[in-house]
Amino acid sequence: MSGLIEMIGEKFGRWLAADGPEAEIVFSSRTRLARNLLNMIFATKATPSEQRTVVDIVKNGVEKCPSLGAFNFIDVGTLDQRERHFLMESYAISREMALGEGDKALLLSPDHTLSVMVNEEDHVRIQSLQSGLQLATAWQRTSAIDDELGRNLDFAFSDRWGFLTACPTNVGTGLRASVMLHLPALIMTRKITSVVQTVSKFGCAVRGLHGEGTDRMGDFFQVSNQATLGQEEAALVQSVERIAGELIAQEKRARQILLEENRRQTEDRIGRALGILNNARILGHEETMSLLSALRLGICLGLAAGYSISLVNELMIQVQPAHLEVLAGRELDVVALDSLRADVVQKALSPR
Amino acid sequence: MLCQVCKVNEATVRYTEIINNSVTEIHLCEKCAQFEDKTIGSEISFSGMFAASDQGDETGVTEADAAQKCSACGHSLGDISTEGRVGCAECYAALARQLAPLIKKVHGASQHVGKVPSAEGEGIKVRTELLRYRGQLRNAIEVENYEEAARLRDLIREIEQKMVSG
Repeated sequence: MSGLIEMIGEKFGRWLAADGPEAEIVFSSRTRLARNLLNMIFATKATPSEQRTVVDIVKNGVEKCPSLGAFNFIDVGTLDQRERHFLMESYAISREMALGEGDKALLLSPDHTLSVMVNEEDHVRIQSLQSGLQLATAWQRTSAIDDELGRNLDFAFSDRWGFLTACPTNVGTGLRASVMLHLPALIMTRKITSVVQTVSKFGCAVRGLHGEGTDRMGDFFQVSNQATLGQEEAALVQSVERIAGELIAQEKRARQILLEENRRQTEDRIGRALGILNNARILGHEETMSLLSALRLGICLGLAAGYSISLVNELMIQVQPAHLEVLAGRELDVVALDSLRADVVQKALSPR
Repeated sequence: MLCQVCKVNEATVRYTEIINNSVTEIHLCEKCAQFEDKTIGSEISFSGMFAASDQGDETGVTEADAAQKCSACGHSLGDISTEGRVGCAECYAALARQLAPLIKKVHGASQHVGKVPSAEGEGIKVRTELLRYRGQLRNAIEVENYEEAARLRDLIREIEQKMVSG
């Protein structure tokens, strides 16, 4: 398992550094492109040998791309359950890839901000992750890899439908642009339903912390474009940027309200969170995320001195089950997980 | 469609719940969604869209349609409906007629604009450009903006000549 850590480069992705614009509210920006190889059956219908062929073809294409030279190659198909979950928890691979069967691979940049997944739902998925609100940068980096790969591989494409994807909901540009937003104040001031309304009006979708089909943990919301066909990529990116801007403004207003009209209740929530985080001996995952959300808010409001957003970001990753098991070097039951989690949290939060 | 909880308001939020590998789709209005401690989402999933709705939706397909298969991979429209995915690139051509209204429903559009594969080079770019200009020309004529129409007509002619001369 430690082999996996060596394989993936840095311990924490560069995008967790919380140094991007609006990083207090925007956890991350992500752009993802879906592409398939010409004349090859799509991933979910492919036989093992066909899957292997796709991996080989993509690998050959990647070798001709100078900018992908430093990327680490990870044969995800050979990893065990825990290793895959570790990658998923780090946002290096999707839930779909972690749970899927068959031959799959991942190319990951050393700082985790760029990746190419092979044999997820589509043959090739190019992804860029940035700190804060940096969709334009993420898109530009994703597109550059797409251009380079596209010169060395033949992608399935039609004049009418654009890039052909396994799921018709991705056809056309194949682009999903998304932002992960931390909106605790909107939830505490009971304004969250207006968030959903606004988002839908702008043609965007709202999901939980790990995308499709996940719970809304820790007051985080992922917002992404719905349509991928009929608009240019830059327009899709801009539309998500606009909605993110609107939500950031709403969250800021709600935080102001908390300070002006609900100061003591807000301080109480943050104070209790710090108390439990620093003193509990057993911490469940969901509870920890809720407490970390309060801490994150506290830092932004100036009510939790001595902590940083980047620390909380890293903790969010570290307290997840597979990460704890990697740390322990073995499988852990729930009690052991929750105990180790408390230790990890306290070590991270203790003054340096 | 009405909210499945209160049965009073229009359902505007659809989210997918996955528990122990079984997937359920729930349709709620905003008010009821607020009280659900789950993912608030407007998930648009392609599967199940083929079921003809009570209102005689134009996207409902006949049984004959559902059985139609892609010549390259054998995937049928019924398969696409169940899995929410096509089998290969050829499916889009083979089943274009049936897929078109659904794609239009999901994306609100049926013509790709944007990037083209680097490997394809100029060819596709030009063809997509032409399609776009022809559409704009039609619109210009409709609104009687003849100046614009003339400009577009000349532009189109220029591009076509370039294509011919190679």
